[in-house]
Amino acid sequence: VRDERDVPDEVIGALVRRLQVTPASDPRARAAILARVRGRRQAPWRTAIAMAWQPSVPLMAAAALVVAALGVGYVGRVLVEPGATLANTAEIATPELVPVSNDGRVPKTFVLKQPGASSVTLVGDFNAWGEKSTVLRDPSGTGVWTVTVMLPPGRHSYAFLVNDSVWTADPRVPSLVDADFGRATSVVLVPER
Amino acid sequence: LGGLAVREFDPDVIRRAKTGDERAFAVLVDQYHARCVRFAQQMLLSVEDAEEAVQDAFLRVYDALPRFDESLRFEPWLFRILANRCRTARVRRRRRDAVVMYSDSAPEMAVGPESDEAAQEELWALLESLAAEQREAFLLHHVEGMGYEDMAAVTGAGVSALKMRVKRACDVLRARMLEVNRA
Repeated sequence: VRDERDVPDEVIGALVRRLQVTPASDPRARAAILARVRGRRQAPWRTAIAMAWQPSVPLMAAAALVVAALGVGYVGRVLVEPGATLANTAEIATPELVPVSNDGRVPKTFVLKQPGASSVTLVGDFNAWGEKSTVLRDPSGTGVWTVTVMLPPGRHSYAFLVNDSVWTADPRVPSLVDADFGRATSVVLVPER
Repeated sequence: LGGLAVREFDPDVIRRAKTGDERAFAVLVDQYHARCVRFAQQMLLSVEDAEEAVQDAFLRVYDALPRFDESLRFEPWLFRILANRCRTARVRRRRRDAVVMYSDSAPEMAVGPESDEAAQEELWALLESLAAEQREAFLLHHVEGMGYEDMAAVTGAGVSALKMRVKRACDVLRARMLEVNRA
């Protein structure tokens, strides 16, 4: 409860009323937020943990859900974490000395071996699935296309677009069919540092 | 809690957003976007920086929602994340400004009619006279209508410190307005 001393006087009150005029909410800005959220759908283990925290879930059931969720989480993490313990998973490895940006983003290198391609771009929830936003390079001409991008912590879905037209999931990590796109996408997990 | 703008949701919206329901999350964005933009603009005195901070805050909210404790209120939690993004943006801007020499120009203005721009310039110049912590406390309390307990949850500062910041902010603003009127 606001105490009486906090009631602003006339001068401050007039200023507050001017400051309280709400700027127009730009629908494009809201759409941009929702576009970036799309594809960041939560991993099954996170959803299960969220469900377990509902007050209506009995304690034992919640515990079982969390245990199951952690198990799924571990398996899921091994499957999708680049550079994880599976021998043939992607080499989207973070460099040994990881520069962390001020806002917590870390560099991730994406690699696609695609000899003969004329162009390869990276599309993902982190660039709003922009087909021309993130271009891979093949400076040596060996067909190994790479790009390094700064990603915030979290789960990110992505794919490659070859020759501006061929949607290609990362062949070196297990892919999922994305419900929104109906196409296979790969997943990278960026841990908090 | 201050009585200016208390809106609470059907708990089901939060619950569905927690499980990744993007439509439920869109309801939260629609409801809070304008207020978040207002707070971020008045904290950062920049339309562009504010838009970036708000977008970043909503993404973090989405990612962190599964960990949100529904026994708490959503709004202070949202503003805590937003206030943190504003602090980060200020630090980033200080670093950027240290590299790129800016002139002592007025803060960036929103595009709009000349009179709106002038009014906004005047308001932002007043806010600029406050230290960041004072500005944050003043805006949360008087503009966003938040009580001190919620403000403590948002800022991590104690209630008495927050009361002092609000009082000092009012003193500074009064003095500044008097100065402007005399000039």
